[in-house]
Amino acid sequence: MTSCATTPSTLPFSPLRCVSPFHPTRFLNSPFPRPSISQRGFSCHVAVSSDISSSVTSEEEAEAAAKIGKKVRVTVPLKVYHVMKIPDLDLCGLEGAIKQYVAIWKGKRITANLPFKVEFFIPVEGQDKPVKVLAHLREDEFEYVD
Amino acid sequence: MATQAAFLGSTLLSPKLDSSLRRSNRLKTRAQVDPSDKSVEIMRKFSEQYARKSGTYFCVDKGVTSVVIKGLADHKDSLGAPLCPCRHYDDKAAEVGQGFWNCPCVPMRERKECHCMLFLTPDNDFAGQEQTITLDEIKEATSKL
Repeated sequence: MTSCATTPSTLPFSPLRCVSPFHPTRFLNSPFPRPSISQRGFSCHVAVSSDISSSVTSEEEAEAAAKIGKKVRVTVPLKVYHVMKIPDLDLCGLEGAIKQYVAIWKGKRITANLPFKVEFFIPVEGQDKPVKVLAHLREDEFEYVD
Repeated sequence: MATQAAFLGSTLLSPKLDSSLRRSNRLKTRAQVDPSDKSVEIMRKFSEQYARKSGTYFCVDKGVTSVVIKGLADHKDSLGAPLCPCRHYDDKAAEVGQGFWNCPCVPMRERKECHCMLFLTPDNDFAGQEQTITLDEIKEATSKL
């Protein structure tokens, strides 16, 4: 069995750039000995990831904010296990409201793949008050209800 | 391995140069420092406890389990929280703050979906029979890396 499931995805760019004509790798294929560590001089410029990639535009924030409060209905079979009172709950067909868009947090982009936090109120037998359930959904798992 | 390649040409060298090569051979560059034993132990105990609580099992290949536990320990040491080690992030600090990918991540908590293959539901083809793993197993599996 390969371990590819645990291999982190490769970065689109290397944040570490070593710039020098004295970089050790140039000696790897040489038959001559490498200079000792005191003779090797190389500088490493570390490119710190800038905020540009993780900052969110105000348009994106406004778009996300507009969706909050909208009523939605789950359109796919979706089992959740985190509700204590309902151990094995299928959300398919249930209606709720979008509570939060979690992929934006304090103006930064988060890589959450279930960005819509939806609140459901589900009636339970033997209880007067319905149970409040919060679940994270993808965009293609629900539809907006008018 | 790089220094082994350099050694191939060392037969023609004088002893003085040879010894400087031997000195440089001791240099080992590693991409990251190993997580502390304490963190690995904490994440090992957490993994066992959470597998029991969620009714999930470790992978048949304990090497997978070990690598993930070590990755979690590493993030715990470097970021303060065990961020999922099997994903790429633009801003790790923000991810830790928001918490979606803090182990146990939201997909695992809600749907029992662990793409690291640390916690596997019994119906998963790769699920083993065990919900335990020893520190020795982790060390042995990750020492080969």
